[in-house]
Amino acid sequence: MMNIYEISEKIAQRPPFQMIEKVTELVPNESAVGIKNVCVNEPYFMGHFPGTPIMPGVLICEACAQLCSLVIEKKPEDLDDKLYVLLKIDGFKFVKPVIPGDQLEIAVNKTKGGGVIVGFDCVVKVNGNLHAKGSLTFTTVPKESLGK
Amino acid sequence: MNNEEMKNKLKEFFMSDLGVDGSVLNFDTPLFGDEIGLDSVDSLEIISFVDENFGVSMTGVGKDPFQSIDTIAAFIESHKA
Repeated sequence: MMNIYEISEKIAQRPPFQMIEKVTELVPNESAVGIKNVCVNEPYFMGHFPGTPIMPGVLICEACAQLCSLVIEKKPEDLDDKLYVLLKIDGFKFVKPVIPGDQLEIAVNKTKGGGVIVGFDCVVKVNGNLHAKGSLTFTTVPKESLGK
Repeated sequence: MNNEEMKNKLKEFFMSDLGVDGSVLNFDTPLFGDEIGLDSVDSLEIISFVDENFGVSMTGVGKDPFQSIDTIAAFIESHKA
């Protein structure tokens, strides 16, 4: 269980790009369940779409990715010079639209990795109904290599 | 696991996880050429698979061992404990 203050100590993203607000279950390096409340005031709803707000699928993926990053226990020696980044998005389906007022219950389970890559299966539900699912894979890159 | 079984396991991985068409994938087919067309993201998947399934690290070994299923199997054979 983590609240927003504890989450912010663990991940670098900040509003308006912070997509997990509460963690209700967490098994380090294995799995987690997290909550994102979708609010009509979020800036992307101005354009996606005017008069018909729907949460972009890529941002649902981002919410899943942020929860995955909370599951991954970074090695102490990696904290300063390495960054976990998204490597692959596989088989994502957006079964039902996510709209303002929805509370996303996101569950992620590690399927592979621990070495150069870490993979997760992700399931997104609203009121117990499936809205999206897919797989995400992450790797580490040296911070000094970014932009070169 | 003998050498043939190892190569078949690798081929199965390329087909199921990396989406390679098994009908054009032979043990000596170039993996990163025009025909199969794998890329650097796939190479990380290969490294992870070999590490988890054969206990052999291919991190930082250069391009040569990744040429084909034959060369990956040869690398595993010569590096396994």
